Order: sequence, then structure tokens, then C-alpha cells
Amino acid sequence: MDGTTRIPLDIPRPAAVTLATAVLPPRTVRFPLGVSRPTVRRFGFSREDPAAHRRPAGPLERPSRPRLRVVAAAEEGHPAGARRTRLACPKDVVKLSERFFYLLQPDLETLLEAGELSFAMPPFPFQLSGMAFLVPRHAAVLADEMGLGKSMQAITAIRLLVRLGEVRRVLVVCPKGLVSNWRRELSQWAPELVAAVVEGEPRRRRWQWSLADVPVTIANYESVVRDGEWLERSDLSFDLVVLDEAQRIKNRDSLTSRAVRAIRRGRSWALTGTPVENGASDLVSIFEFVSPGLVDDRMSPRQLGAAVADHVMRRTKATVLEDLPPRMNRDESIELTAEQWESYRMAEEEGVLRLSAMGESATIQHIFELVLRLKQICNFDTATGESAKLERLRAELEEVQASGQKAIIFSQWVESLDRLADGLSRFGAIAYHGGLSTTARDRAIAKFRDSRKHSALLLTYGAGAVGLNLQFARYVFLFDRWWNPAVEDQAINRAHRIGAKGAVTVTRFLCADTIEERIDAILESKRAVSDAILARAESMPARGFTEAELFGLFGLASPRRRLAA
Amino acid sequence: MEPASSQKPVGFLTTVESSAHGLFGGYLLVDPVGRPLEFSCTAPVRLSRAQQILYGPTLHGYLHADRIGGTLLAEATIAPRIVLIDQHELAELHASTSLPVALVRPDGPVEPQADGPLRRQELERALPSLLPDFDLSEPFERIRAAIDEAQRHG
Repeated sequence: MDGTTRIPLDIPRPAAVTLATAVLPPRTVRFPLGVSRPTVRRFGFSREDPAAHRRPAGPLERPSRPRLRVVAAAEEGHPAGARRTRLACPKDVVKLSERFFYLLQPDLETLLEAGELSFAMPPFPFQLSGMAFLVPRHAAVLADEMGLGKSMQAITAIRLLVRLGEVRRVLVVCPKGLVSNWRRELSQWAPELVAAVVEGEPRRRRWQWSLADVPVTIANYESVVRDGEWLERSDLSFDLVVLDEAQRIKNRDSLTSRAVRAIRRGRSWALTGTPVENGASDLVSIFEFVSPGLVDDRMSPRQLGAAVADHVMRRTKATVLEDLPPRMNRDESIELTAEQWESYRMAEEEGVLRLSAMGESATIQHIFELVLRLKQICNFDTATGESAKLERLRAELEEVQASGQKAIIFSQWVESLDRLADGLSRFGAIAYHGGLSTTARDRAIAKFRDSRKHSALLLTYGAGAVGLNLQFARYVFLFDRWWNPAVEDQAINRAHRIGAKGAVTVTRFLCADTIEERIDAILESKRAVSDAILARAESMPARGFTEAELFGLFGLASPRRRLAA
Repeated sequence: MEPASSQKPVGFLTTVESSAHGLFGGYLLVDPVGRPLEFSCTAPVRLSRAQQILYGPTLHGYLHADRIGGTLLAEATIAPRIVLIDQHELAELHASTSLPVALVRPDGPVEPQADGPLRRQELERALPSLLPDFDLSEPFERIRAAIDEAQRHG
């Protein structure tokens, strides 16, 4: 057999598997652990020579009064202790550096302790809050209730701004009767700031307007109107314009409102105790000056309230002055004398008959004429001169005089005040009204304050309702009633304000069964509405008395309503 | 007494932790009355987890004192008489500056840094440049408020 079978016996080399014994370096994962230096933003705040932060030197400086340390206030139990009042930056300041400028300022108490701000008397904490509100704001309304020291808060805020180098020229515009008051308050609260008053004949006024080195210029509304055209033509501008009693511009079409709005300015502040004296449009008008275009009449009260919220600060005595002496209100119902009543009855009957006969041609003016005539008879009988109110007032003043106290008496009419001055001569009654010169007014106030012979001061609502500080008087008499409760409140607050040493008694004379009682009922309802607005800005009251209210005083329907029916 | 104008300002330096953004630093220079002269703040610093683990206990001091504090001091244009801090994490700041550094304790007393170059005597000389009743913890509140403001306004 030739077939051979070969069986291969070679064992093939196995495929070698080489195992590398060398340990390869691993892949590197690098974690940067170095913490890099962060970027830095730097803000400088030296707006002027630091030396100027302290007392201004040169011609602007007047000797400072001795400083009262805040420590002394704490010892006296004044509420200026450990709290810290910081400047509150307004929402409309957008630039971060500007916000930091205010945010990083020391609190007002620190400045106080440093003697940077000396005060004739220590401020209340709510006043420091008011200053902290004003200082950073270009548009602000300080609407504190009368008597809480709005002027003082504004003056101190001005002072701070001058020290911070934020303002150099300030204009204060106020009613004529308050110019001396402002001058006095400035010398009391900012003795180092020289103030110039714009007054006198045109050439003199223009020179006073142009005094560039004077930090504070005071002008009355009438001067601003008179010099309005010249001011517009000139290149005069102010870093800050403060309107005192800013309700004076509640009618935006008035010459006064136009004139103040035309003043070139950096900041606009309004001071008023009655920002909504008659209605929402009052506040809108004030904002035409404070922040033009921010609000308008088409806004609902809710929108209006929200839009102005960051620009308005309002406090009431009830919320901030726990230790303010109480105000006691008394409504004295007075029976007219027989002769007065006869005159009153005849006048009212005749008047109503005439109005009825006039039918649809009767106007509000006719109603006003009748109301005024009846109110005047309630004060003094036009036929006999008799006055039940005067008799009651004499009896009241006997007591006031005997206790060494003083009283202020308000009336709507200068004529009534003249009669009162005669009838109250034994109380040394002094008249104060718009017919007097500024000097005569100042003299009247000084006599009333300083002499024991004078127990009574007679004021018209117009001249005496705003700005005057009469906190030494403990009694207020409203001989007749004003149409607007806010004006009456302002009058009352001449006495019931900071510095009042005891309870203030307010007596309102109301002749029984007369037009005065009917007006009072409407005023009370308006006062309630006004309180509600200032608390929540939810609803605005009607402007003054409506036509329906006026005709309703005599039980008549207004012609417009009759036509509609 | 040295006139106020010739007195050097005082620096206040602190850091603020924000859970949303990271760690901020703020440095406020004030005059003897406490008015601000210059303020600097840093962009926020955020740390990675790895940095947190690997720096270990050295992280806080390094981050606060060197990275943030040192940077703020280096960037300032005004040299203060003293730098006050209110956090122990900033205690190492003295290593980053030749300026004297002191810690303001929450309960009031001020102490020079234990191993810093400032001795108590020097501290006593430096502080009177501020008003006697000056609340030394108050400027730190201002810095925190400003950093808070910066965060809210981007």
C-alpha cells in the first residue's frame, strides 16, 4: 500500500501576546485651581473740595449758633436715641453710581453726633425720616399734616445738600405772609446759610434774583408772577426750587402755576399739608411742577397713587407725635338773639322765594350771595349790630385772659374782624389780615406773643391759615366756618403744632337752625372723604361744593338736575 | 489736635456671600465724619467644586484676604490710615498689604491682627482720626447695602 498518511506534529509557535510592562503616563486632566482676581468697579464721591464739606467759608458764612448735642436730647427723653436714619434712594435714580452716592452716606444721626448739623432743638425721628426722604429726591412732595415742621425738614435737607455739594442755589417760593417766617426759620435751622429776599421795586428785585453767591433766595408767589417774563428770558437757574404751601398751584392754568413751572431748576420740591385739598386734580397740578408728565387727569386714583408713591411723603400728628398735646374740639351751638333771628329769617325767606322765582336762571352765584348774606347775619345783625357769637366769645375770652392764656380767632371777613376788634378791645385784640403790610403783620404777631396785654389775635382764614407758628396760643375759635375743611385744619394747626405746651381747645361757633349747621354737615362728610384719600388714594373727593350741594342748602334742586329730569 | 482735613480716611472692607451669584467684596473709604470718599466692589467670585475640595481649609483665607481683599486694596486710589475688617476670613489681609489692618468685633472692641504688623499702640494712634462716638460696625452695613443694591441692579 503506497498511501502514506502524514500527521504534522509540529507545534506552531503560538502567536505571542506581548504584555507591555512599562506603565504609560496617563492622560492629564487639568483643573485650573487658581482663583483669578475679580474685576473691580470703583466709585468716587468727592463732588467738591473735601474742605467744603465742612462749614462753608467766605461770604456765605455766618457765625454758627452753639450746637446742641443729640446726647442732650436723649437725656431729656426726646426720641432721638439709638435709631439710625439712612437716606432713602428714590426709585427714579437709575445710575448705580448715583444710587451708591446716597446709599453710602452716613446716617443722619452720625452727622448729628459729628456736629455736622447743629440744631436749635433736637429733631424728632420722623423729621429725620423726612430729611432722609427729601435729600436724594429730585421730585418730592412733603405733605405732612400741618404743624409737623415741613419747613424745618426742608431747610435741613437743603443744608445737607449744600454740604454734599449737590446744590449751590436754592429758591424758596412761599406766600407773601410767610416770607419773614422763612427767613426766621432759615436763621434758626441753617444759620450758616445766607438768605436773600426778593422784594421791592423791579430793578431791586432783579438784582436780588441775580445774586449768584447767595445760597438761598426767598420769593413770594406774587414776585415770581410779576418777574415771570424776565425770569424766562434770563439764564437764571436754580439747583433746587421749593414751593411752600404748594396748594397755591392747584390750578395749573393760573399765572402762578405757569410762572413757577417756567423757572429753570434741577430739583423740584413741594411742601403742602393739603395735597388733595379739593380733588385729585390738585395733586396732578402740583406734579406738573414737581415732575412734569409723570401723572395726568386721565389716571384713576389707584394709578395716580401708584405713580406718585415714591415721591410723596405724608405723616399725620396722630401717627408720629404721641406726645403732642391733645386737640379738643368743641362745637358751640349758639342761639341767635331775637333781633338777629328776625333779620336772618326774613333774609332767608326772601332769598329762597327769589331763587324759586328765578327758576332755571338761578345760578351758583345767586346761591353764594344768599349764603354769604345769611352767614354775615349769623356773625353780626346787619340791622342792629347785635351778635350772639360775640357775646359768647367775650364770655370765653374772660376765662382765657384770667388763666393767662392766649386765643386766636378766625373769620372769613375782614369786616367781622374789625367789629370783633372793637368788641374785644378789653382783651387787647389785635387784627391780622391781608390788608396789613408784612411789617405790620410781623409787629402784630410779636405784640401778641410777647405782651400779656394782648390775649386775642384776630385772623382771616386767608392771611392766617398757613405758615404762622402760634403754638403759644392754647385756644382757637372759628367765629365762622370756611368752605373747605382743609383750610380750617390749617387754621387750627397754627396753634396745635410742635412746641404746643398744652392741650389746644378748638371752639367752632355754629348758630342753631341756620345755614351754618347745614354747611357744617356737608363739611363733616367732606372731611371724612379727604381722610380716606390721603390714607389710600383710592377715591378722590368732589371739587369744593357741588352745584347740587349748594342748591341743596336751601332745599332746592339745581337747575341742571331739573333740566335732566 | 490734627485738623480734620489732614486726617487720612479709614477703610472698611468686607465680603458678602450670595447664594445666587457667589462671593462679593466691598471696600469703602470714609472721611473722619463717615462720609464716603470712594467705594469699590468686586464682581462675584464663584468657586468650582474641585477648588473647594483641593484648597481645603486654606481656601477661605486665600479667597477672602488675597483674591478679594488684596485686589480691592490694590485698586483703591486713596490710601487709608487703617483698614478695618469685620470677618475672621479676612484676617490674612495683612499679608497682602502694608497698611495696618484691624478686626472690628461685633460686640464693639477693635483688635489688631494677631500676627499682623499692627500693634495695639499703632491702632490707638490710628483710630482717633474717626469721631469718638463713631459706630465702627455701621459702615460695613452700608457696604452690604450697596452690594445688595448692585446685585439688584445688575
